[in-house]
Amino acid sequence: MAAFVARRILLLIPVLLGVTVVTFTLTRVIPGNPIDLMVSPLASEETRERIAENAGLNDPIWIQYLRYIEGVTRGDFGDSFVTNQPVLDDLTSRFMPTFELTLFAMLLAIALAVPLGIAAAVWRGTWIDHVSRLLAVFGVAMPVFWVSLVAIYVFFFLLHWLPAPQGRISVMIPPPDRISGLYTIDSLLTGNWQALKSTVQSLLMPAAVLAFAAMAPLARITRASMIEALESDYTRAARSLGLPESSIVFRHALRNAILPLITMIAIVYGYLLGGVVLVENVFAWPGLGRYVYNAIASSDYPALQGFILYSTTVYVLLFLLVDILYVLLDPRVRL
Amino acid sequence: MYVLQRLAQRALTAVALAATLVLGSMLAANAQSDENTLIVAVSRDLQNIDPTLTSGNINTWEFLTNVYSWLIDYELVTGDDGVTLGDPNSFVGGLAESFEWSEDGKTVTFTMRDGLKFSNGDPLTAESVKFTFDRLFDQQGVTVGNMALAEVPDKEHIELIDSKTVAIHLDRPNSLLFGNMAQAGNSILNPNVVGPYMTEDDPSAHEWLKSDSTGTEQGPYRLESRDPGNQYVLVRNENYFEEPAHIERIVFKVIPDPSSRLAQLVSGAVDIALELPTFDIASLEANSDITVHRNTSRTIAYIGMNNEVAPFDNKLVRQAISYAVPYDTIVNDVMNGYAVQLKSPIPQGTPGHTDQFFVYKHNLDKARELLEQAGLGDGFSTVFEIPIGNQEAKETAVFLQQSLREIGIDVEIQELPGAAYFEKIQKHELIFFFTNFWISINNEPYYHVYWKFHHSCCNYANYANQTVDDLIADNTISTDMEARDAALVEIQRILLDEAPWVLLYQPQHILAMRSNVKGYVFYSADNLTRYQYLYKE
Repeated sequence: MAAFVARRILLLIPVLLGVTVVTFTLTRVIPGNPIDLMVSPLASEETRERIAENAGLNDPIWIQYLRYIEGVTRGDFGDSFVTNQPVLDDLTSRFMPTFELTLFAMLLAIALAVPLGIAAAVWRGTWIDHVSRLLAVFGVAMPVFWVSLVAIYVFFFLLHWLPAPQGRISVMIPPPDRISGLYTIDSLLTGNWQALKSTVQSLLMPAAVLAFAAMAPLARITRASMIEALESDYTRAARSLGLPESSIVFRHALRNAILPLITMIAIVYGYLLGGVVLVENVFAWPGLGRYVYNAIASSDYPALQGFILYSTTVYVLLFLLVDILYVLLDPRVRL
Repeated sequence: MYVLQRLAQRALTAVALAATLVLGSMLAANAQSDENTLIVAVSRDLQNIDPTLTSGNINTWEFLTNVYSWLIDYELVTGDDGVTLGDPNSFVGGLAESFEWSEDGKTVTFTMRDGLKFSNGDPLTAESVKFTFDRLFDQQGVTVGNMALAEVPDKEHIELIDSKTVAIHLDRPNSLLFGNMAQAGNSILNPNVVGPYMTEDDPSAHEWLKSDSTGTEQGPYRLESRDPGNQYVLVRNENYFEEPAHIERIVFKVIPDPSSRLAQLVSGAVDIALELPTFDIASLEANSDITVHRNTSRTIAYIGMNNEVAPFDNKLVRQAISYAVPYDTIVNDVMNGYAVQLKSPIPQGTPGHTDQFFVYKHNLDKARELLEQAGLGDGFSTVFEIPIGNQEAKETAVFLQQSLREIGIDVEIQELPGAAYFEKIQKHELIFFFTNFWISINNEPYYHVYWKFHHSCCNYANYANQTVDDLIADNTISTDMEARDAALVEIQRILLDEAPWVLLYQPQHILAMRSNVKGYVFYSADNLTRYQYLYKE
């Protein structure tokens, strides 16, 4: 097991190297000179030249690349052209907001989608199956930013149920003392109920919107694999032995259906990292999604490369986790 | 087993119920800001905040303007209508209590106020001024260009006389210096704070100044905290030399989505929202909870035509297009009436502006006739370049496309990403393009024409005319006011005849705030809000 994990982590290195080559080339092929966004139009040619020189933009591309790789090995991802901060600091400070949002969105999606999928499989062809299908279609078909805007309009603007979309916590409430970086956990640990309330309020809408988009594939895959499990020989055997239906569904069928669900959760989580870009923009969420959105708009090469490296790492680790879970959950899989 | 399941079911129901209750109790409108706090919704975060090397980002300029002061500042004047404004052409002492010009107009001597302090309590003296300008010239940043234009080429021209007095020497007398100095690039810095960050590799302490200002502020506010990408907070500077700011804290909340900024302003979740689409302003004006401040800005929106590239190198073609543009439609439908038509390359509000040479109005027959004369009676195809995400540009482009089709010109609209657009415009590589970001920070007509038609930097349309060039060169640095005024009329006459740009509009500067926020003062020099005057009722 340990050897497997070690091997997989080692495998990250060539993957990440490949990614850096591609992103490095692509970001430089796209037109747009970051210098022109960095300084006033009145800046003299010499000033521009000096800034370009300092940023290393005048060297041949392969030198720039080598310098970048050399920096990355030291944990130096360069400075963002826009925020003027080290990219690594930028990414770490924005990681937790995004992680908190996607985590709760994912938990919410699973909590809704799995029971729905099971119900749809057990009562196939009934109204509950149709409702689940309809929800799935809506979740996939509705653009996530549109759902966000409608949600804001209804729950904040019309009904005043939820606070203004101003990010993770009300402007008037100081954030909880930092322990984990997740506001929910930190405010719980420090017993800061005011902050907890504001954090949960702020999380509810964006997490629900993301969950709505994410639950569709989860509910469908749960339904499909549950149907397969419920029609299998071992289920028929269990039924013929007179086991209660609930035991058949939850103890036998669900356990078998859970493996494809886990893969799907990993895939959907990856998808959430993309969907979060739009949601963060609408909800003023200070996370990675907005960071990369701005980076793209302003040709912020170091920030873009840093983000892509980061998300690649997350993907690879996520699927490593899935493989490990497979081993733990399925006695047939051995490493 | 069965019992266990029933128990589990009940437990689940109880948990679900509890969760519903908890969530229900959390659904309640949240607290709003109090009278000592102002919440401002901005579209983006601060960028580089080094005053002498900053970018064009509006938030950043506004930030610098509120935390720093300068030797001289714009005078506050109250008009006949009782409205107080910052006069862009009249200067009074800022950090300097007074100033005096020598008889030959080549030296101006500043006397500093007594007891000036930086936000950290350090004294601010003429030595701080000398330090600031030495750094400014050593760094060779953006501000240097403006000092040099006013004939102050290097740091030897800044003379420290004693700890209360400093003099600036000009090589030739001119009327540009103060307008070039009354802006954040000339913020006086604290040597005790900035000095230690000056290293061999970074002699101008740019690495520190680009992201911090703590302790070197001397303006009405100081930086309290920054949460990158989320918000930045200013707090009143108790050491400010003038009347302290009314409101104690200002939270600048980054809310990128314009409809979200609007909804939060209307609901009262924020006190001020910047950069709202003009489309929504009319509904805000009808809302008694909101005050909308509208002032004609000197910002110019125009269509640039690259005067070196065919067919735009032909004056007749440029004139034809100038006749084809539906000016009223653009002002009324694109800008929803929140703009005035631009009738000279020198905008309304700048001394010397005249619209007497503006002959262009939407006249397709005249436009066809001119195209015919240019030998392009059959029309041609071209590409219109606009920055992506700019709603004004996009809508203007569509109306332009329709009108030009009428005279046989096929226009393809091309949206360029921000960085690509700015790269091409700086390199003068755009051929037929929209631009609406320029405002001349010095409200001196020659400052404006110098950068826009003379200096290589910002003559984006590559306009070249020897007469205009000579007139600008001869009069920019001159104190012969009569000759300057006459030349300015001649420059405008030629520019309108040769039509290097299609003149579009001057947008209104619009600032929407909750009605209980009072005291707003408009500064037409830079459109930036001075938050020190605002208070809540």
